[in-house]
Amino acid sequence: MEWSNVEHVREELIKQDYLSTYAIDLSVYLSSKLNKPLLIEGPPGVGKTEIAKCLANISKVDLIRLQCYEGLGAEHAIYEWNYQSQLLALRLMESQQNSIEEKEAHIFSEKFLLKRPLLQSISNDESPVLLIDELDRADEEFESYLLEILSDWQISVPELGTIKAKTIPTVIITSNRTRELSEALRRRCIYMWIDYPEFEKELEILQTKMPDINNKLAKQICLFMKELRQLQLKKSPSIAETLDWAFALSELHFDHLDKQVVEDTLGIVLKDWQDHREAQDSLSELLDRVGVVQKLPS
Amino acid sequence: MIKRQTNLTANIISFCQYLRTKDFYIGLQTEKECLTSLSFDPGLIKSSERFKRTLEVCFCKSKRDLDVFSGLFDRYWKELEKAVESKTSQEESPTEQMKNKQAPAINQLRSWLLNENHTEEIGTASYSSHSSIDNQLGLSIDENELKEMLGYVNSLLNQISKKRTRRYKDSKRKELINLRRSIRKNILGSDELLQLIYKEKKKKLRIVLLCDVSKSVELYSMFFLKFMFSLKSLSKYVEIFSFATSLHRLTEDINIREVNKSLRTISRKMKSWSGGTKIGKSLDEFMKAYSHKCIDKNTVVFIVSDGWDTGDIDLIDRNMDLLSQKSMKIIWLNPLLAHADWKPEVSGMKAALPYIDLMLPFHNIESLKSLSSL
Repeated sequence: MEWSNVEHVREELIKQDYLSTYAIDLSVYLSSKLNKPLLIEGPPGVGKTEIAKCLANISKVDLIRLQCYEGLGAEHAIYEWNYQSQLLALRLMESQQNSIEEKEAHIFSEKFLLKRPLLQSISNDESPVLLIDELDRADEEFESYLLEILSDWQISVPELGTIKAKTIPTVIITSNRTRELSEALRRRCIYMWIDYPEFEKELEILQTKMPDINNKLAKQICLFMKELRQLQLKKSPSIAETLDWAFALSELHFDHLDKQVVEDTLGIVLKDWQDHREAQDSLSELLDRVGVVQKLPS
Repeated sequence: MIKRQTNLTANIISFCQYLRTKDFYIGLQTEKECLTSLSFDPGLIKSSERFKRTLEVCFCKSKRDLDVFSGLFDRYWKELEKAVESKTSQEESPTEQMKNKQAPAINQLRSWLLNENHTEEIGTASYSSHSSIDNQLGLSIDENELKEMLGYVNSLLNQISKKRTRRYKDSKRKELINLRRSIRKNILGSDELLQLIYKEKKKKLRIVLLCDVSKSVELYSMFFLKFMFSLKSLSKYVEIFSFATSLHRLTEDINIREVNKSLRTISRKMKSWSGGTKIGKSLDEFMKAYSHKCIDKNTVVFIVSDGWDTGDIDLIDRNMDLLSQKSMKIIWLNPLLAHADWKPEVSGMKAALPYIDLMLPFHNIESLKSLSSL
């Protein structure tokens, strides 16, 4: 996508229902202009992955996703030979009078090469969006391998030679910071941190995603979430949880929060029993801060 | 409005030098990219806020950088404005003369900026060169000592991981083919057309650290803390717990990039710091709540304690037995072992001794050094 200026990024993201901040618009704009990967860090559920999806939609190109996990290796991220097909092809060629070189050239041709996300992203005719999701889950070895690809935009397959990128993909890397990524990788990227949104921004997101929501309920939900994130929780609730909760309460026809409703539906927001207990313990205090009038026990 | 007399490029380069003194990793390429970025859109230098944001995006490569950038930016450009104001007051107009006089002004500014870190009280990096003091517990960590420790802990981790083979093991998951073994299997004349053998990587070695923070080891608590930070920053397969009269999981609270914040969290969490010791009860808590997640045959357990215990000794015996069955190795690091006349006579130590694979002294950086060279 050729951006004319930072405002252009903002307009296009809004069209995708993504309410960004100036920092996000600027980072997307500069990473595109400088042809650098965009490294996005932040707590889970704040919209890191969503940016990649929006960019793919805006540019109307493929989104190629590489979900990282512990033990992810080149065979799942870059390429792998289709061993079964190769062995079958060898068996089929046994009756033919081909030389060993010919057989070798046949079984190590592109026909038997299984392209995994990284190779796929540089082989596309049209520059796709490559999402490398949760890189912090992958091992350091994989990160080093990634560095090489992100620098040179080429992949060496010993049997085929070097495959150079036809087009350079738009790369979005996300991390939940379960471990620190290397300085070398950071240097090659434009860095962006997305935190939980401010109250006003979260309210705006909620009202954009759910235009029919009761105004008072929306405000109370956002205020409650803001207060909840101040607690020392193992997993603070994300925007996704705010939306889920708002949707659930709307469906149940509630137009405001009260203690009983919050107690009954807290499981939508907090997914850890210790967090649940922590929130239960300070529920009255939280509701006071949100401004929910609590009935006195009879 | 300040009339700008120095060119923007020179100021940005000077700002980069300033940032480098504050632990920002800014190479020439980044400087170049920043200058290029500003030329993409004239709107980026229209307002100081947008200019600041652009520099932030170009120069910040981590959360730590983002946290301190705003303060450093304001401080630098404010000082620059002061320098420019002092120059304009001299009322010298010829451009050539201006250019000649700009150099010392910028140098003066630069020298102020570069020497600033020797004089200022408040460090802006994630942890200061001075000790960071926490009010509640008086926890402090010295940056240089921490760096030194990182080196030794790294060697220790390398030593431990070297003991394990990196060969693949057979797997039932049909993901990765062990081509060598598959070929050998088929050469031997299997009835099937093709019998494929699959392989998988061996699991990474995991480490669990259980660290005593009771009164009896108070003397070594700073050393233990540094060890925790070093271990956590060098391996992601580490779980850290502290215990005195009860157990606390500190793994997620320890972050070397935010030492001060981590210390505050630890001090808030650790009500029993420098209190009594109940090793058995703490081990029991650990085995009940965490062992199923943290312990398997790939786990080395480090227990850092002097073995003094005021609780139930049977609990130590029972839980150490369980721990030794479930884990790969138990290494007991004892600060008292450095004393030549020390004998494992305290009841807690006596109860734990049969289940320990290795007991080593652990009281200062020298002991860690010898540990890492074992």
